Amino acid sequence: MASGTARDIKNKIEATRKTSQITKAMNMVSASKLRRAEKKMRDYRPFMKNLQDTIAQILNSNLDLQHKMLEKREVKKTGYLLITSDRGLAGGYNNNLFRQFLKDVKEKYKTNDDYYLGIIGSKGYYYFQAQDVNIINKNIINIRDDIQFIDIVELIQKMIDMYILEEVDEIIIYYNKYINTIRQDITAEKILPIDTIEGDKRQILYEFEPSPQQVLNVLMPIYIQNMIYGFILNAKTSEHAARMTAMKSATDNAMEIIENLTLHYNRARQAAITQELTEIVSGAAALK
Amino acid sequence: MIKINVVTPEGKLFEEEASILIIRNSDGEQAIMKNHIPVVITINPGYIRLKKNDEVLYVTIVGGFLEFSNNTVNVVAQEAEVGRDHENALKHLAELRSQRLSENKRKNIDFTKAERELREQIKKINASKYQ
Repeated sequence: MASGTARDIKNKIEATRKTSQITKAMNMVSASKLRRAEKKMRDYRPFMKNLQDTIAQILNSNLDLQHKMLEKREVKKTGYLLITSDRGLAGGYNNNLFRQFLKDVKEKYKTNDDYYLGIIGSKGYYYFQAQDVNIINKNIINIRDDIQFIDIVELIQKMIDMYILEEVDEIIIYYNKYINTIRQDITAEKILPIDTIEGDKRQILYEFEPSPQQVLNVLMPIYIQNMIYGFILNAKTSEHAARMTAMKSATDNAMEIIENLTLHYNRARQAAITQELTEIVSGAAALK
Repeated sequence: MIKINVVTPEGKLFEEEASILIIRNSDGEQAIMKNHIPVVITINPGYIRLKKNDEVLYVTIVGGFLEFSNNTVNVVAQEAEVGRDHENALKHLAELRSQRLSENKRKNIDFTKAERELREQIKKINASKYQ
């Protein structure tokens, strides 16, 4: 009996040790992916800065320019864009986002018909597919670790079109903002309409070909698309960080369990030995 | 010489010097030489032909613009490809796009299949446990 429990505990220790090996490997994989995602975020910045500066330049030098994306209008319907992940095992990365979003929406609207939802990432898609909400994308929009612009451009373009056609009057994005490796905050940010575009003031007078208005018409959608892409890169970095932290604590927990189990195992082993000794001694005593 | 930088969302793609560039977009062709006045030109889609000595290079661009000032050209493009000809570049970029999307789809299907198999296996294991 006693040796039976000892064997059970030993099996359990072995199983936990194997799990901890996996979680530790996942932690390390996430750490290296996090570094890569951070690099991707850095690489993206000069592109965005260039774009931003140019648009600011156009707007500053031609004050009478107009664009639908810069005009506020009365909000009747809102488009939301949620950035979730494709894979789980990232702690509360997705669930916290869902909870926060549903809470905000419940406070703001009476029915689910007052807003549209665009979802990036399969986790979010499956979650909201089962619920009574208006989802814009009919397919899963993947957010792979090697995310590329073309993965998401279709959905974003659709949302921009909806805004231009006045089907929605504002677009708000929900994502996990990357603060540092142990902290990611769920953030809601308004993308459209744009309040201001800040850029370095260049003391150069540009010519615009074909015309300032046409240049602006081409650049604004590109600007929005890339702003969203930037949020996605940020969210991806958060995902890796969240998974890294989750796997780190999973490994720590496993180690604690192994420690406790080892203690139990030794106790059970000791108990078995003591019992055997008692049996032998009492057996010998009975023979006397 | 004019300095040319091409940046895409993926980072810096290309850096080169050239003596003349010819921009081709939906409005036709336009050339920029040294000491041109500062200009912003949209390119969607189109290409830039760079000439340096006898060499000719093409930068094919989908969704972007170029900004010229102080003999430096900044090309900001959603997608861009650098090569010795421009005819196949657009087709190639479109091909890359459709390939990527179908790959995503296939991966989703594979993953869902694997998930379902796993669920079935778990069910079987649990079933045998309580018999």
